Parts: sequence; C-alpha cells; structure tokens
Amino acid sequence: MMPQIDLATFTEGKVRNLTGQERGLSARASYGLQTLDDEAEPVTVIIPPELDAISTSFFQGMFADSLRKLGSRDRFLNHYRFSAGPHLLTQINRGIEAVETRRQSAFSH
Amino acid sequence: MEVAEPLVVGAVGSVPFWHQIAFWAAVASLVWNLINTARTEVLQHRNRTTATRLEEYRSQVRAPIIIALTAISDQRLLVEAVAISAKEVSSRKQDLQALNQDLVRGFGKLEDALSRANASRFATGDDWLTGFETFQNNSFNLVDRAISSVRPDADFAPAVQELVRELKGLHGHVAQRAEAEIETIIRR
Repeated sequence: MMPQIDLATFTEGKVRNLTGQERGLSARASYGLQTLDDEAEPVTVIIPPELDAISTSFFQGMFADSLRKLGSRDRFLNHYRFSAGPHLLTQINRGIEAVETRRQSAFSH
Repeated sequence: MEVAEPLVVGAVGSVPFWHQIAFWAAVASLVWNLINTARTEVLQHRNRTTATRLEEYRSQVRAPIIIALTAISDQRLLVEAVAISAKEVSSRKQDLQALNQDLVRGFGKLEDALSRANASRFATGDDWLTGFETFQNNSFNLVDRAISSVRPDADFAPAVQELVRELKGLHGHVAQRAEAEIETIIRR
C-alpha cells in the first residue's frame, strides 16, 4: 500500500489555516518526512477538506528539504502526490515556486 | 582688376570693431543654441524613459498589487461587519469561516503580485514580499483564533478586531511600498 500522510491528524479539525515555518518544520518532524523522502513508493498527502489555507511559510517548513533532496519540482510532485481541491493545490504550487525562487536567488548571490 | 583684400578675423584694423563683435556674438549664440538643443534632447530622452518606466510599472506591477489589495480591503470591510454584528457568535463564526476562503484567495493574489514585482524589470529591489508573510500568518492565525474561541466577548470579538487592524496594516505597508516606487522611478 502507498504510504500516506493525512494532515487531518495534524490539524485535528481545529484550524482552517496552516501557517508558519516553525509549524511546518514541526509537521515535517511528526510525519517523519526525512525518511519518507527516501521511500521507493510515492507518498500520498491528504489535505482535509475543511482546510482553507496552507501558507507558503508552512509549506517551506514542511517540504523545502524534500524538494531540495528530490532535486526538481517534477520529481517532488511525482514522489509526493497531493490529494486536495484546486484551491489548495494552487497554494502548494505557490509554495514550490517560493522554494525554487529562494534556491535560485541563493545561487545567484 | 582689383583683388579683394582677404578678411582676417581678429586682425585689428582690417575689420571694423563692431563687425568683429557681431561675428563673435553670432558664434557664441550658435554654440549656446547647440548646447541648449543637446541639453533639451537629453532631458526629453530622460523624460520619455521615465514616462515609459512609470507606465510599465503602473500597468504591470502596481495595478495587480492594487487589485489584490482592494480585494483584501473588501474582505476587511466584511470582517468589520462581522465584528459589529448582533448575531449569535456561532452564526458569526460561520460568517467568518466563509469570509476566510475569500481572504485566503486575496492573500494568494497579493503574494503572486508581489512575487512578480520582485522579478519585474520595471520595479526596483526584491524586497516586495518583506513583511507580507508576517501579516499573512498573523491574519490567518487570528481567523483560527476567532473561529475556535469559546468566550464571545473575551476571545471572539478581540480576535476579529485585531484581524481588522492586521488587514489595515497590510494595506498600509504594501501601498506605501508601491507608492515609494514611483518616487524611486522619477528620481532615477
């Protein structure tokens, strides 16, 4: 069976917005993403329907290291498969772009 | 046949004094005109470049930012309405939950517009997103705090009022940066 992460266990139905890099790092640690990054199988990320926002800072805290480790947006999205509505997928996309922009600007300096 | 005597400029005595004055005045006037023409052309070129830069900045950078800010301001007015509503708190929480979705969309649009400003060649600096994250995180956390509040007066109302202040702060912060850019372009 495909490994999966259900963010509902993190939000516990109490929040509608996931924000902050620290919180993202905490989610990364609690789901063991450091290990999941190396999984051979793709990982499904289930985003609960009651969630309205995943801020760029939260995404960066949770997934920036995975994105760097996997090397590219395509490989990242192939490994982590997000199950969410289009509205939240747009925010995931924004988070990926922010990580990539930050990486490019770090290289250019 | 009579040969005309060559005119030797400056040779005192060969050309009448007043003719020499008129000649040098004409030369000076010509040089002055040339300098003025060159200076006017440089100024006109600079003005045209500034006007083009301003136009591109206004249409490509500032306009999307203002549109997103206006959308957020519209949401802020609705949040203010929730703050003064006489409805039951449970009902006001539902209203706020519905507003949150539009608020999140507004923040998303603003983040995109500011990211484009960072990358745009029509805007200076890459500091456009500075401060945005703090306003966004604070606003989203305040929505969550209000929705999960238990005591209507002690928790819900203060969280909503603080949210209104945060959204006003965001508007002022971003609008100030967008206006300051116009000054920067004009002074370049």
